[in-house]
Amino acid sequence: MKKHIACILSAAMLLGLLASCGGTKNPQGESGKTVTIAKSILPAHVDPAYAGSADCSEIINMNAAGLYYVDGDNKVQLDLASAAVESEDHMSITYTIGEHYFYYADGSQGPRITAYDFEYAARRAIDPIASNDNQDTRMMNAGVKNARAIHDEGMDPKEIGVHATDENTLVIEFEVYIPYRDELLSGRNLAPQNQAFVEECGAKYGTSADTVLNSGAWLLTDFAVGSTSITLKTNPNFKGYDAGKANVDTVTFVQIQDSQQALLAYQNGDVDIVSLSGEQVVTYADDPAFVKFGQAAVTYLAVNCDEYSNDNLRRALSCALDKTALCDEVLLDGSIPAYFMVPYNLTTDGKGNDFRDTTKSYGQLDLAKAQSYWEAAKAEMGIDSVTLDFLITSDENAYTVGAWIQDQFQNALPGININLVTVPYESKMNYVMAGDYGFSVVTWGADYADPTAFLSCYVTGYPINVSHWSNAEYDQILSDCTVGSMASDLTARGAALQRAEEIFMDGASVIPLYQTSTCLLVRTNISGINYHLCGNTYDYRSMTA
Amino acid sequence: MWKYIAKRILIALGTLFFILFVLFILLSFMPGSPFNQLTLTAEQIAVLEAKYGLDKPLMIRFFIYVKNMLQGDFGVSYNIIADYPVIDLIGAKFWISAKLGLTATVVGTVLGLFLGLVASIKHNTWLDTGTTFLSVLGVSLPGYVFALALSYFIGFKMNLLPIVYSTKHPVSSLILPVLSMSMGPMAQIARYTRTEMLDVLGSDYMLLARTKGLSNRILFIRHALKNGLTPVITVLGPMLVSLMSGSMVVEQIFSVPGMGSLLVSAVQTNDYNVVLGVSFLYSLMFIVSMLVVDLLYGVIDPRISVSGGKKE
Repeated sequence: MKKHIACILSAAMLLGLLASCGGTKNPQGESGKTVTIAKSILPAHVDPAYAGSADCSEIINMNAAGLYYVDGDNKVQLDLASAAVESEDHMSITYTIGEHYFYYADGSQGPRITAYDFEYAARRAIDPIASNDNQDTRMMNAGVKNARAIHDEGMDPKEIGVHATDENTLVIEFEVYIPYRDELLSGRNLAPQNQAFVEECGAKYGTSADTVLNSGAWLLTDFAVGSTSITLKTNPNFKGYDAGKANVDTVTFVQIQDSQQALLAYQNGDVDIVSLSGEQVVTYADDPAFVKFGQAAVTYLAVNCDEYSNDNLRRALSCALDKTALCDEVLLDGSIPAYFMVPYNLTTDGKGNDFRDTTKSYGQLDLAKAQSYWEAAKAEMGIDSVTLDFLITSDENAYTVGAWIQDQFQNALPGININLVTVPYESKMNYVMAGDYGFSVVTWGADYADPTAFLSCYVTGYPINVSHWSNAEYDQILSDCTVGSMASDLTARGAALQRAEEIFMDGASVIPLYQTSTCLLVRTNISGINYHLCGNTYDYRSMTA
Repeated sequence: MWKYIAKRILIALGTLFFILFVLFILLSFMPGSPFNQLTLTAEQIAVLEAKYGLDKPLMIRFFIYVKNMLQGDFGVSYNIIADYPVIDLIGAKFWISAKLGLTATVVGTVLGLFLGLVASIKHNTWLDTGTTFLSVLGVSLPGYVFALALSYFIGFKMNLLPIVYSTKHPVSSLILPVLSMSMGPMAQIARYTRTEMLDVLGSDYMLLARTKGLSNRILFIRHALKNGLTPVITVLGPMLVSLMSGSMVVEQIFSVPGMGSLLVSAVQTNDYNVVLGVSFLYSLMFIVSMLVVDLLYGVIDPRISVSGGKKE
């Protein structure tokens, strides 16, 4: 028995010894100025061609650079191109790729970045097979030659209008002049990629620090599949825009899945930047480290028009929700009520005003109006009551919001019963895509600052048009504004897109709920982080601490 | 004996094949496709399905999968990391879960045995009551309650240990998850040990041994402990597999990038090959553990014949 007790005591002592190994301050043991950022999820890879998620883009935006860079004032600047010359008819841009740009890896200089690397990156990004289900749509929206044909008609990706004429010269050809195309081309999925290196790495390209060539302001030094942290160090040899502006030596992203644990880690001093969610926002709203910024993302109810084709039924629903109460009493995360599809601060109306400031609001709470729409719907459909299927996900937050919306509809519109259909989080999109749903909560974020980032989604037959809504006038306006007569006339375009939004909101195929905001705690000694409304949200190129 | 082992291995292989077949059929019933990007057209989805052979009939896909699997190729991931070999993806996650589960099993078993033995030796004393109370607590409260409590008091308030798992500090950051996960097994083992030991200590052969003048030490180790531990081994195998396959909640709280979160991600994104690979691994571990436990019976308790009794 004594032996057993001795063993147990030894184990306890061993545990104590192990415990003493656990330093919690500066957990990565890095020297110099280190900023540690908590993230609920870390990317499994940093391959620019596959970078469909925000967690991927955030890292890629650090270790890779492209033709353009969006600075802190949301101005598009040349990054890895020394010069860009636009043709007189605006249908092509010739970029000079300087001979002083190189890749870096393992602390040493790699091959030179050439124009061919941009051409190769464009082909990978536009190829639906090479990039799997993260095919680039920015080149399509920027009017790059053949991008739309490759996407819609299966043309060979080699036909993309991005060509290197020699190592120093890259030419991008366009089918139509899109005024904001530079911003679209700033996406990191067009970051240069060395073909020989990519092919040598094969499927493992971008899955570890050893299978990445860094072209950006930061060097990926520690990253592997299954790792709980990602470490980047400043690239002293970076020659792009704002090079050398950051005074932080190391940025470490640590994975903390649970938001409460992340907050404890911040309070412990283990991390310097943490995202807040739900009631944490209310608790820390007055903290000096509290940072809030809006995002160009709108969460809305997508209504399946094939299931619920009566316009008045959908209009009744759109007026029956108290969105202010949803934001202030349920979400509590800083989101603002959405009476629009094109969010605030995204872009202008073509005359210098915010797009939202010179147009209408839609779907305000109006119970009398909702009731009259519902009466009209009942008469048209010949019914007294109806049960609507509301597809929600099984996580707690979604259920809370779903139950609240169910309660609002049922109280405001007697005779309407809402049946909550619960499915796992990502399976939901399978049902939505297949049209096997009544209505459901969808969030859509813009990847470029233009109303078409939202409005194009609902053109007839477009895969993202999950409501299956259709309107000929709307389709025509969107066509004119993207590839047609108004594409380059900003003033006429702004007014036309405001009209398109009005048509769209009148159709009530979607019921906007809120424009999302992001709230963080950022230690007060850290500054210079650029928070972008759309595209890549976080930019650390000029971060100081 | 060897004939029996061979027979059991053959049955295990057959069971594995059957499980794989059922899994394959069930996965084909899952709604949707692995390719859910909203911008993809129906034609592009068809091309992607052809690229991964998902356009072939179910049975042909199954036999291709089995053929490749027998050569060590478990296919590639469609979504988690496109085209990344499943075997490498599982390898990156499995060892973290295995390390966590194995350590939790060892810690839980050692503590459980200790508590169970103390309770049985000090039967009907305050020590017995105390250990029984701890056992009931361990069985009743889910692992995440311990996880949150340990994290808050030991990690945050006392600042003794990291509250999130880190591959940079694989030992110290594993202590709190291990303790959280070991509470359930500890309680279960303690209860089994106490019950069995009380049964053995009160048996006639123990009385006989005592009257023959054997020392307490020999009496306890040679006769009581050996007989009392047999049922513990029964639960140990499945418990080990269960813990090694990853605890979703504890992994979530301590941010352990283990198998639990991998399987959930794979199911949610219809990453069929990853789901199959992980499920197959779980099945393999479970069947092997049951086989080992069955064989161990014969070693520990000669009264149990693994090859079956002779016909009279």
